[in-house]
Amino acid sequence: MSRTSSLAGTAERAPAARRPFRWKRAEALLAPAFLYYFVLLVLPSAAFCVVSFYGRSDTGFFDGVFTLKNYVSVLTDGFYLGSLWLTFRISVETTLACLLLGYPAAYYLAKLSPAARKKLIILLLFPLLLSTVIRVYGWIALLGRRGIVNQVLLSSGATDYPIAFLYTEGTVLLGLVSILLPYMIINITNTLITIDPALREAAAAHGAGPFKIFLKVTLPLSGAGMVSGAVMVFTIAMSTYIISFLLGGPKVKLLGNLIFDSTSSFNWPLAAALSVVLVVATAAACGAMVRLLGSPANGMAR
Amino acid sequence: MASVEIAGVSKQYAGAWAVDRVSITVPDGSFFSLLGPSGSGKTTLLRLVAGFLRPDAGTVRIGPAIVNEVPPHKRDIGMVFQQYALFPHQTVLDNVAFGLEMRGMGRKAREAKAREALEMVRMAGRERAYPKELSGGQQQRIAIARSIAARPAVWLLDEPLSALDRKLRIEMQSELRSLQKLLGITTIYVTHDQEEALAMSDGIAIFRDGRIAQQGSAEDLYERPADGFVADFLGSANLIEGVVARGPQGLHVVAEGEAFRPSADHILRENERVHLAIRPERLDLSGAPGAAQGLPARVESVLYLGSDLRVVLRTRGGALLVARAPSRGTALAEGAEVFAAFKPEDAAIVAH
Repeated sequence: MSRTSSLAGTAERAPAARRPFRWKRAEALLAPAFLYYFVLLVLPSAAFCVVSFYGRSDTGFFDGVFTLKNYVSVLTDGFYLGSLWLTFRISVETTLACLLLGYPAAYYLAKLSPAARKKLIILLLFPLLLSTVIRVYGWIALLGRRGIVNQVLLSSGATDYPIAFLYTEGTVLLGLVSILLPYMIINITNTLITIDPALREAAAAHGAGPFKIFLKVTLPLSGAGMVSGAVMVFTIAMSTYIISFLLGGPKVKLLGNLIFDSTSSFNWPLAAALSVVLVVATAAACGAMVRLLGSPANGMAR
Repeated sequence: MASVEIAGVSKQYAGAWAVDRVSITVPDGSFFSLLGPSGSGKTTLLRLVAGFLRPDAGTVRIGPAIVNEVPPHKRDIGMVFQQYALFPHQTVLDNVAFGLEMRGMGRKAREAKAREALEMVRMAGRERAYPKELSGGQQQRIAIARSIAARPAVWLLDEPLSALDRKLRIEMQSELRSLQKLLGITTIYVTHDQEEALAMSDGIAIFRDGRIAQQGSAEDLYERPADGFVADFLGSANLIEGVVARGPQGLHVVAEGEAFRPSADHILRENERVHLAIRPERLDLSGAPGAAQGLPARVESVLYLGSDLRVVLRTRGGALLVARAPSRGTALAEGAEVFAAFKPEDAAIVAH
């Protein structure tokens, strides 16, 4: 073999093709979880999709007559549309706030030794041991009319009347961020620690200073963690009920609260339609996010 | 371009000296290899030159300037890593153009330069590919292109070929060497493969436990090893224990009761314990005893290696010798008595 041809030929073998997936064994492993979710999630979801196309009934759950009435009122009534928009906006704000607050914390955690990081992550997860309801009541104790913050403000003379912190959008946002921030931090940290340190060294060796290394290597390669963290935070925020119920009260009604209100007034078909709209809106927003910023699976921003 | 001068450099790791008072001068445009077993300090020294580590003592100069405190990105280096370290989120072209981009070059100019570098490593046409779409050998070519695209003053290579298979490795050795000559770039090359170091280098430093056991040209080290470690690490060597004695013709080495004349360039001290170091290919098994200096031995095993035979011998004094003999025309059987002869100039006398 001549030298040139051996260089071009033998040197460059493409990676071997993957072995085809073996379904039989995988199916068997999947079966228990699949069955569980099929019976308890897929079937009921399908049922409420169907119910959302029926009218309400004063005696039963629904009247069994096909109608688009529920969707028409959800998608044309300013009250429902306003709530959908508010839910979406608060969820986006929560996600952005978690990204901004979470990234630096995740970056710090990723720099630590595995042992030190483990300790801090346990600390980070600690609040999750406490029920959300209890934690949200903590905010009420702090921010209520006679809450600690107002007591301090009143007694110091900074204000003459208690300030209405509760039942505002800002307080709902505060509550959501305080509950959801750990999810974002952990998602980003887990991606940051998988970045090969040699990549940063390679960037440094070829002329990149610390800021450029972050911009050109670390940030794009942590895209997957940001997207998976954002999807998680956004999804939980969109479907929140208890946080907005306690901190938003009658003034900040998110879609989750309207669904609850509909069930309380026994309008099951309307609640079902609202639920379908919520699921579709959440899925669409997440799909757009993944498409725009890269999928969590492939580990790169493309 | 610039020379690299390492003067009395030490670096401590977890209480041990990973690099211990090392001094090396790599002249402008030359190819210098750091050779040694793993953990001997060669990679640590390369990282000190790159600027990923700061020396605890001594100075590193690139050109006239001391760079001890200069971070890597201001050192004007190019580097090839063992596991390629290509940016997975960038195309081949962006990877290769990275150093140029960091040096502030505009898109058009840097892409032209990057294409030029890709041609040098015969990877033109794959500009739009992502690293994961390429084979290991191709990825390493891209990493090489990235490291030279900006024409840095110093080229650092950290075992760049160790992940490749043997045939590809040998091809890449000659390609790297001709690329280095073409660019005239001062090069420091870390390897644990002695053949690679011998084939490519103007100068070699052999590392052992953080220190330099010996440095010099490939021929220096091979023909005149300073000690048994160097002799055995670079190629293989048969080491025969002996002691320096004074005879009628001056100093000579006595081993297994036989007197061996030293070749001209050895400086001996009387009563010093030494090793005779003889390369396997320099042992001649074809002659009869008495015709030349040597040791009688018994054949313990004969291994057929294709072009030649590997013959393991046991001397009467109990030393184990390995000889290489041409497979054609050598008839040796286990248990045969032979005479292992060698010329004085083929027996290096090294410190015990």
